[in-house]
Amino acid sequence: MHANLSLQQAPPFSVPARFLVSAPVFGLLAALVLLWHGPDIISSRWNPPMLAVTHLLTLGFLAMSMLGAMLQLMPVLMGMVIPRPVLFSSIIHTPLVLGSLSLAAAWLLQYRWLFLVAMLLLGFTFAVFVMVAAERLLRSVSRHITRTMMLLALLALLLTAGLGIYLAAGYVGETFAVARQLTDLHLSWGLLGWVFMLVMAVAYQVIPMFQITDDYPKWHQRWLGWLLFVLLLALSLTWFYPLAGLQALLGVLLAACLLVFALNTLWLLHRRRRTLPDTTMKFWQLAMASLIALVFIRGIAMLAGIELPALLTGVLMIAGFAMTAVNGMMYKIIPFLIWLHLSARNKDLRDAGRREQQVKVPHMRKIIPENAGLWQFRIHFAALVLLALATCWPAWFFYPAVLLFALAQGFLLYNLLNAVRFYGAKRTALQAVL
Amino acid sequence: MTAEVLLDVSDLEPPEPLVQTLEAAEQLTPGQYLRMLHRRDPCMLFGNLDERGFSYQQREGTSTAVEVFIWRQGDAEAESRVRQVLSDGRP
Ligand code: HEM
Repeated sequence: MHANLSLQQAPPFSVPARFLVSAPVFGLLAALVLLWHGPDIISSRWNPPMLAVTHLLTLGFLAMSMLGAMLQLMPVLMGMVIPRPVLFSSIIHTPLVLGSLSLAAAWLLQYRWLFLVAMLLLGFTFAVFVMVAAERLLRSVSRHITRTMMLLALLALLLTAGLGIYLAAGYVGETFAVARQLTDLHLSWGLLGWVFMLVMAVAYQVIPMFQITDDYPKWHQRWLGWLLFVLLLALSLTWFYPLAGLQALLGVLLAACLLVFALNTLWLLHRRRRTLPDTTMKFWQLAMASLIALVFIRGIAMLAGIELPALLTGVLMIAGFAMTAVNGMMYKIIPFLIWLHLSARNKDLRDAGRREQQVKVPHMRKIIPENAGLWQFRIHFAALVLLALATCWPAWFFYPAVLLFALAQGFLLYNLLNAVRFYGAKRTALQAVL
Repeated sequence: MTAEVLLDVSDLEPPEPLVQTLEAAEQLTPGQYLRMLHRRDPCMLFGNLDERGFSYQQREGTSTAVEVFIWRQGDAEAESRVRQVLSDGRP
């Protein structure tokens, strides 16, 4: 089956771009909240400002960029058409921005009614997105495993949001306490079922395509996503029938899924066909290294009976794995889109017999200069190491870590905005002649 | 002048495989066909070939995963050469 796209199927540039550009703004906001509250903020998982930071990242950065990427990749990789893409993306983007902001503000300011606003906005966003995207995916002719895994990821997103909204209800009124025992379920479905599943689904396609590697092995593609999903279902059941032994076993198997994916990805990248330096590849490698570090650190802590700092796993999973992978992908998606849209315009001009009026479309690698991406990578990498250290020794590492993290997010925003501005200028030039 | 134009795009990063294949196709002279070698099913190529008036045939490759034969619609000579290669067995 060919992902047989003609340029007309791709949504307008503004559709994915608004999501991708919003993401680092939320990264910056998260850094500001951390700076504002100082090192004490990471003393506990249940610190309300910390929950605000977590969701500025998981909703404002991750869900934001991942929904945007899906709006772009579903048409390009699977040939599906999203009706009224500009309208649809506004209907999703605006409440996602406002909902993420209100959830964070609710924790920061302790306004109960803001939780209610956030629940409504986010519930609306995810319900509508999942309904439309799932319907399109179910109708798509693509039989690639990416389609199945995107569907599983969407289901996980729906569960995550449902559990999140139920948890948030605990903050709204006095009448019923926050259902803490569900928090772990919420975050497992969120980080593994939604984030990790979607990254895998996308990696199966974009790593061989952009990094010029072999395909992931057939068995890996066919089984890993399903295994992950079944394990999460089983984990959910242990909440009703808590069997400590089974829970531990499921934990080990989930860790094995992470490890298999990470090692396989590193292996493919190691054996890639062309060895030009590539920034996106460095992001993929760092993301996989974070997953491996996470599994090993947790494994060792479990065997040795050591209590880990509460936020170490979160830093490695959210900033180390997920944000790193997404950041790297952005450096391919945005230039590719710009190239695609400019080429399509040029083609219109040529078909109209006005070849001489075409604009010069630069090489994809020139749209975001390799060096700008590379330095942003280095800062992000350094920030990540310091953040991990800060969860252990906050007094020493907290401020340098957060400042570097802010710098990395600011740099990412700058790189993306530069690319968008470049596209804007070229498009204006083209519109002038059309 | 040879009838077959060989183009191996299997080590190129998108969008180069697409760009180079379309460029090479545009330069075909009557009787010539393009044999494009790629590591995967090409993305966006067939729609663009349709629009530009080319015919194509994909098969599993020998040295690379995929081979695509491309010729101008209506170029009977090129088409019969492609058919011959396809029916001859390898290579
Ligand atoms: C509708 C959207 C969401 C709402 C309303 C929501 C709400 C909540 C609430 C109320 C808590 C705190 C529970 C407690 O105090 O025990 C929480 C925790 C958490 N949520 Fe969400 N959430 C949402 C989406 C997400 C998503 C999409 C992710 C991840 C991808 C996520 C990741 C987390 C994590 C990691 C925690 C635990 C934080 C910690 O233990 O430090 N949430 N969420």
